[in-house]
Amino acid sequence: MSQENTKSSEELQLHTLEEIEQSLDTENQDNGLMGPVSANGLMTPISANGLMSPI
Amino acid sequence: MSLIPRQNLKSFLESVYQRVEIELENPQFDRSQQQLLKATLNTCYQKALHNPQGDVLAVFYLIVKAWRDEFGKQAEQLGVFCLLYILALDLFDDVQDEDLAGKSHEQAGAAIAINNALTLFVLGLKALHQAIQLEPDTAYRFEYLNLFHRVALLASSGQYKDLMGAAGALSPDSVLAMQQAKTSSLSLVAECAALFAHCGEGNIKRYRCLSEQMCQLLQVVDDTRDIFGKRFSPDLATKKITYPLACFLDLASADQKAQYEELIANLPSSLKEIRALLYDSGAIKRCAETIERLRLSIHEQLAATGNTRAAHRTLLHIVDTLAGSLYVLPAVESSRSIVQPEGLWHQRVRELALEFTANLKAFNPPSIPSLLPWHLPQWMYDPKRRVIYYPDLEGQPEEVVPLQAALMQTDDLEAVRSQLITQAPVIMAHEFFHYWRDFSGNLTRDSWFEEWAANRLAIAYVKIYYPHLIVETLALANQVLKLYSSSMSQSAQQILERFFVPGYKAGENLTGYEVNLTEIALIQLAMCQRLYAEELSLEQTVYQFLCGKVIT
Repeated sequence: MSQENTKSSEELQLHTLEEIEQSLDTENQDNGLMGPVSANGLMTPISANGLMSPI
Repeated sequence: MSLIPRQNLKSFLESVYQRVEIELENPQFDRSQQQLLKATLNTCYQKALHNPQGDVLAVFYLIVKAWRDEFGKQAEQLGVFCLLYILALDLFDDVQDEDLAGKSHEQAGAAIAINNALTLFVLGLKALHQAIQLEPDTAYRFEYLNLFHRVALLASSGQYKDLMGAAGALSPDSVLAMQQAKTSSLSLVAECAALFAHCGEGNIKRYRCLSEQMCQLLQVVDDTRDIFGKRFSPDLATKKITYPLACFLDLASADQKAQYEELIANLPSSLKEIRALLYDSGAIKRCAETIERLRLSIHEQLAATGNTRAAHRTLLHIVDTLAGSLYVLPAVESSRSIVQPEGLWHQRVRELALEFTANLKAFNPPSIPSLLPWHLPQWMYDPKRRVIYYPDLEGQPEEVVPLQAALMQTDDLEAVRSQLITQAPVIMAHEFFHYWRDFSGNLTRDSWFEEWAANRLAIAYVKIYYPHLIVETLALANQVLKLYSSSMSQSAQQILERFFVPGYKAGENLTGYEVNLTEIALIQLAMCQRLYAEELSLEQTVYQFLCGKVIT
């Protein structure tokens, strides 16, 4: 993580409203790669918004 | 003989779910009861198969895996206990929230549902009893019971406060405390794992602490998702005081509160305006700050265990992915040795990135982005974090190699790992070009267009710098495609044909891959095969795909 943002928590860089809606969207993530888990699940996207290799 | 373990997260989950299914087939139960219980289990199982890291038992697996490689019957039995406990509490919760609609117990109704929740709970206790009998250290046996009593009572007290509604917790801190109690099942899972791992009293306390923080973090993200990620927000509709709302009430001016009351009366059409109001009030920033405080503490607690095994990195990845949905993640120094490990494979990946930039020095490539190993089989460039993730062939081969082995239809995992290491320069080039397009302002929102662009660039590049390797890689692609050519879906075929229609260009809208991971791989391989046959000049492809936009 060496080149990631190094601001302190007081200067957190909040995503825009649109970005937050996009990353939390539970109903438009049906491309077979990610999906919400149960109420008690952890709900981590498998590959949210990433670009994948030819494997 | 292969050194790669056969068991991985997915196979562990399968074993646990199978054991639970056997328990539900208890002949004492009426057939209809068995069917209802199995339907409840199956809903959860399908999600676990789809996304194993998203299953709450992943936390159990990862904590154990950080300390020991052997799981065995006792670990599975503890998994059975945790799963049955969670299923029971979920079902109780659905009855209490009158939320059975669309679920397995919808037709059966609340009375049957609550009886089945109790059944699951008792079956869970039976599983705990069996797991305790398998515990070789007698002192630990009581610890499992102590843990169960503590967490179960905490959960019921939290649930009670939640059911009190507006008469219960209202301030952000009290909402957070109530939610921690309500979602304490994650603590149960984490501490069961720590006890089973016999990782020492100090570390058991650390896992307790970090799992409590994970419960809170998860709940804040989940509450935010309810409002910002659903077309209809059940929490807003029922006027539930969740964490984002408690923050809003704490921060908002009288005018903003009045505006909120007006908007809430006009749901669901006012949802967008409510989101904007919460965002502008600073409530979401407060949520982000709380999440970041919890995230930092989780990183520190895990680092303090002194255990840098890859399973801990996956645990942190889960936490970071959740947190990253709200804000840009600041670097965390304390967990660097977990997140960026040393080792031959990791060193090789860094060398490949250096080699790439040295080879293309004439084109002025950007400096090397963060390179982070992960638990998934694919390499991936994440534009949000500007990170290239690569499969951890050293620390978690059991997680990443089976998909490739299945594609090649072989059981020889070592041979597959070796092939993946050999082909790494090709894949590194592909991912680096994704990053380069992002860096140069050329990245579009069309995922398949980006794959096409990165493949054209990568093939033009490797034809010059790794001519023998690309021939080997394509020979392997040929083998795989022969095995699957007849089974590729129509959607996959259509996606593939799109790239070769003259004038192919990026779509304007944000698009995903539309097919599953295996088909993505097949499309990519077939695309590379056809691109290789084309005359591609490196200069021209660089000019076409990497120039002409603002350099950030």
